[in-house]
Amino acid sequence: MDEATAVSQAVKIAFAAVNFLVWTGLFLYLLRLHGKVRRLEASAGPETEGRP
Amino acid sequence: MKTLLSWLLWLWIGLVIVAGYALVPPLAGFVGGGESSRILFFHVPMAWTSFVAFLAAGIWSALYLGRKTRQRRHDLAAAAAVEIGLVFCLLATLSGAWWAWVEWGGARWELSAFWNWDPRQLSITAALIYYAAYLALRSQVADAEVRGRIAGAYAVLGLFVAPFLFFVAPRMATFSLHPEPVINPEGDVQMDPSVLWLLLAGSLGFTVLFFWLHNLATRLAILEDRNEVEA
Repeated sequence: MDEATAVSQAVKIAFAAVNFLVWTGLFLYLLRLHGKVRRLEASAGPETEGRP
Repeated sequence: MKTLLSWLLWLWIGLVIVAGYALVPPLAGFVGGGESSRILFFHVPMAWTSFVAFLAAGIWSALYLGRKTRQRRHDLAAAAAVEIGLVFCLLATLSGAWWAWVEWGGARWELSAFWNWDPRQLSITAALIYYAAYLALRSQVADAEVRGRIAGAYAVLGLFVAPFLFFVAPRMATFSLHPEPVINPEGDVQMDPSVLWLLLAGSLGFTVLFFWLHNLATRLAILEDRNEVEA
């Protein structure tokens, strides 16, 4: 593998890793938000429960 | 069960990301030895998801306007769909401008390198303006009932405007900088099967992500609305 190909591969891996980390961060935030919404609905009463 | 589905979505989009960089070969005809084409796997699903969101907003608005189906939550669901759709639409526009900078602008630090007056750039900007106006309209009407009706009618009109801007208008132009195999006047999709499958997988993942985001946003809006009514 020449130097240019190695650099190209490294850049690709770096891009994929950053994308994956951003997605995982967003996903974990959404999971946390999901739990928070459930708790808020539970404290507000049964009328706001469930999908609209 | 819902948590399991959420983790499946994480895995699905994660695999799309990995496959987009590792499995699909770079496409011929793109700069950087074809590597710049990888933005397709994010740019196209984002544009698709914004279209789904705008259609969903129109459908929820139609439900709100219907006499038998009128519920306040339908109006709140429509507004949430437009808000999230605008985020996806903006991301599609920005990622498209970045791609245009690399692909067509020669990576020059000039505004014209990001913006090429391409028919698809113009039509997505028109969609952004149309749905930003929906939110502006909502913000100007204080009465919830009147707001729901006016904004609902506007979003139902969007059921015709969005397909026109996303699919018809770009194909009416005789010239486009967008890759011919992706968008052509005949409406044919001619591309490598691995690219097509990954685009479809990405679009499906982003669409499910939209409905999850929408579910949370609408439930929060309902809680907020209930607090306002009680206050």
